[in-house]
Amino acid sequence: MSTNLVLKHTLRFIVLVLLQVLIFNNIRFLGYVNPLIYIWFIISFPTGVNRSLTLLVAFLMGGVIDIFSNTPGMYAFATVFVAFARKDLLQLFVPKDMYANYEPSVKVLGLPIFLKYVTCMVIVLHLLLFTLEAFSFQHYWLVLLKTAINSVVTILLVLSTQKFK
Amino acid sequence: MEQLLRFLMRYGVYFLFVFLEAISFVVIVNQNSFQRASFLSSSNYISASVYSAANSFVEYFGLSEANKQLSDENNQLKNRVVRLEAELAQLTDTTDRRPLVLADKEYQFIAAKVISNSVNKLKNSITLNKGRLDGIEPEMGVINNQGVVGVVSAVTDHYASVIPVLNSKSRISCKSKRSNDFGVLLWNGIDPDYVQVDEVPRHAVIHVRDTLVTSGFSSIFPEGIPVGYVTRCATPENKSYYSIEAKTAAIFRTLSYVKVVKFKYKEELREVQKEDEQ
Repeated sequence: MSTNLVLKHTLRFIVLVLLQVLIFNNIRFLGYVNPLIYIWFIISFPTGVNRSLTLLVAFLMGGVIDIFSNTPGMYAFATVFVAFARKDLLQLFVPKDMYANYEPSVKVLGLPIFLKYVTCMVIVLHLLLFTLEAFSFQHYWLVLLKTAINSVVTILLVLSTQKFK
Repeated sequence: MEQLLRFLMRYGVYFLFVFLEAISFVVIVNQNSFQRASFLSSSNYISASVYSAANSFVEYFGLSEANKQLSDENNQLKNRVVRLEAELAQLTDTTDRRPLVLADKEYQFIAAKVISNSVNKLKNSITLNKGRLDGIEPEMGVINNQGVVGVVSAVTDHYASVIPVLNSKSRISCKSKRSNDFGVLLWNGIDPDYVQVDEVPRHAVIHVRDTLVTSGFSSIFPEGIPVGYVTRCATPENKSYYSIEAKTAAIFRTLSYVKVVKFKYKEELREVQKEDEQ
């Protein structure tokens, strides 16, 4: 990766962490709206980057958000998991003949594939994080409800940043 | 060795994955002990300064609400100070000499400061720094720790004017503390240290140095607050009443802090008295 690209992704990293901790973690609408928009960074992370590096970056991002929101380990765990699952999800949806290095987006993958990919990523992330947050299977319907609502919001937010043409 | 390296190269990412997840999981499970580590929490320097920078933007939107809360709190504290001051004055009274009147359920006291006062006119007046918003209403009694000062005549939101005893319009019902004979306290407008008592019948027993106190008939003053000390009493031939002169209990030239007497059941008492009249 060139310096330019590193800079670009560092900037994205910082902006998304700040957006997450300053705005999206502070929505008090209905009491459980907490879309995890920061995952946009992992979703759009270049696929050509070394997988280990991707995991480390995901761990760093989750850790930073953990520190900001006083939830030690939770975001780190969920983010690393999603970052790890990303390759398999992409392999599942993306045709084999796609070139190796790209940043997943509607423009590159087309809406149907991208939507499937994003939906899986986002749902897994929310489900994991809210489960860890509850840390029990009591009132699990609440975790599912939160997952459903926030996944929809996050997916819409992610889609709203995509160029369709 | 080479095999091990190849193995690690091939499956390194899985090990890394398991390793990172293990770290996270350990941290989650032991979160109570980690939450105590301040560098891992939002109280560390960087996250705290990010939060405070963000807050300095956000706080502008909450300013009016914060303002309101502060002024409410201020108000409450002020009331508390007033109440404590009144209590303190009460206690000072009891230690000084005799209790004037105990703060009980019927009477409440609103401490106030005299901000203007005159003694040299026929119709003197006093202004207090408390008003309607502090619970003062017309026809409330005003006393200080020496004795009766006057009666509230008019209030605005923040100020109250008082007709003191030293006003030719003032008529305060009083009695001799010793014999319980009733009279009306007036002022002839001559000497601000002396007041007159009228309507005490000739058969009453009044002596010089008797203490005159409030009668408690009206709802304005509690019973037994000193209004004056008899300095001269005579029974003129041509009148059916005593002619009594008394030194005022309160020293009007140096009034500073006073208490406004609030009678809780004023309306009730009035109603009962009205019914009685019919």
